[in-house]
Amino acid sequence: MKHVKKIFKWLLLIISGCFFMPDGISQVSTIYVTRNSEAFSMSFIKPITQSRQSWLNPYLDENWQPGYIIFSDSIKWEGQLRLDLYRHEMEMVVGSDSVLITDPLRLNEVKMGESRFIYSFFIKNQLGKAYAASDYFEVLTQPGPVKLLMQRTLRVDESKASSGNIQLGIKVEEKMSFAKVLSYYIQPEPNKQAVPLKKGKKNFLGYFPAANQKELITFARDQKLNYRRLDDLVLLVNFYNSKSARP
Amino acid sequence: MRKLFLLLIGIQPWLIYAQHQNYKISDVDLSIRFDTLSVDFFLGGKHATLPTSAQLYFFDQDLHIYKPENVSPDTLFLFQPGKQHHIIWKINEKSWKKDKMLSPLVVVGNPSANNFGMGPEAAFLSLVVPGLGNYFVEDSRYQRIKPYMRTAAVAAFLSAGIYASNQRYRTEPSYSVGGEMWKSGEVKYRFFRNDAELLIGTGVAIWLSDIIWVAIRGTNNRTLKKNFNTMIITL
Repeated sequence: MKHVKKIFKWLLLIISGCFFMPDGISQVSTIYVTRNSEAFSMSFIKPITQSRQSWLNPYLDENWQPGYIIFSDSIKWEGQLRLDLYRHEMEMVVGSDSVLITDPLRLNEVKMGESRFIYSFFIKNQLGKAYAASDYFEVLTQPGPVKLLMQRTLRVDESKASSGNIQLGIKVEEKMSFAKVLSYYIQPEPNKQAVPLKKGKKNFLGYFPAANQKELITFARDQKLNYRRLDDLVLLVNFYNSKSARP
Repeated sequence: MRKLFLLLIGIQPWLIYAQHQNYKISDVDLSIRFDTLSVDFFLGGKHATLPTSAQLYFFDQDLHIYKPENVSPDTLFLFQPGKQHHIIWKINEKSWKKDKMLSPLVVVGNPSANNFGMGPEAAFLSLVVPGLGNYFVEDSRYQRIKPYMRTAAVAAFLSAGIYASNQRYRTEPSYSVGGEMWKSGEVKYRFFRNDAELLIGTGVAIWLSDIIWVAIRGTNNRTLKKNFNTMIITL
């Protein structure tokens, strides 16, 4: 009987421990609240205290940024731009008109402030299934055949009172919180889908043709680069792109 | 004569099963270049020799079903079993769902008769034998943690825990000069302190997580089947 009690106690401890495990996989850095919303609670890993005004901003930058868009038919539009991270849409002010890019598949390149963006398809594996989707990505590397990309998304967490809670008279506080999540991708070939970036020497070199892997290894060794540090991976891709640009 | 008759009756379902063309889609791979989405797959299966039709569908994260138009080859094309094939979908502005994530679903033969796997009732199988339900909700070949690994892990943890519990004992108590016990004996554990509780607890936790995992996958299968038979959105 004593053993049964002990076993039960440990079992309860293990099960309850599972519920308190933080979900620390995503790189949460900033807390945002969408427009037309009021007070929200924050329960994230690394909340950065910001002014209330900036919380109500679903855009990448609070203000419009000067920039341009080049379409696939080489037409260039210049104006003020902003990226809505919640709706995954690019908005633009051309002259006195505000426009929404409804067909981003026709975009070649977007320059907004100091950053360059592309609209690309990507493939992501979730629970063993491959999903295809598309989004705006910030290009972290110099122009070339291989692109290292950064995706910004707003993660929405909502807790609402269920009908069961209402029937039982349990009061559930309705919460809604938003977190800015960064994910990194690589586009190993132009006009092909982007895939989630896998760090580490073996994974990273696998994105490049076998013939070029040796010079990448030599460059990384000479420069003492780490295959797990993003800044070093950007340098490696830039090196490859500069080599590919030469005849 | 009666035995022969019973044998003939009994053997018939097996003969019918042997004739059944049991097609199976495997090695599904997805790639996109420019505005062309290509789904590569291997068409195989037991006794599958005759060419058959295969149709491309997609499902999103909410398990809504989508059917793309402008695919090649078209739906009337017959695919030869035992070979690698691909279906190509030409994406355009109107057909592409920018706000959705789509996963391919290749359906062989009659779409309404497609087997999506067992529903949440498969969790009862996992309740009986850990890992058993996994075989019925998903193709175990593509599972990173194989069902037999779960069975082995649960069996190993539980048996080690029971063994540790049986091997646990208390040393002789210390007695005073007058013969009264003044200190009870120390508990000796087989592996480490509280070994039995931790080992059995871990085994039960793996078992419970397996049941929950199978129930979730089974629910997804049931939702997918229901959506497939009720509402298909054309892309």
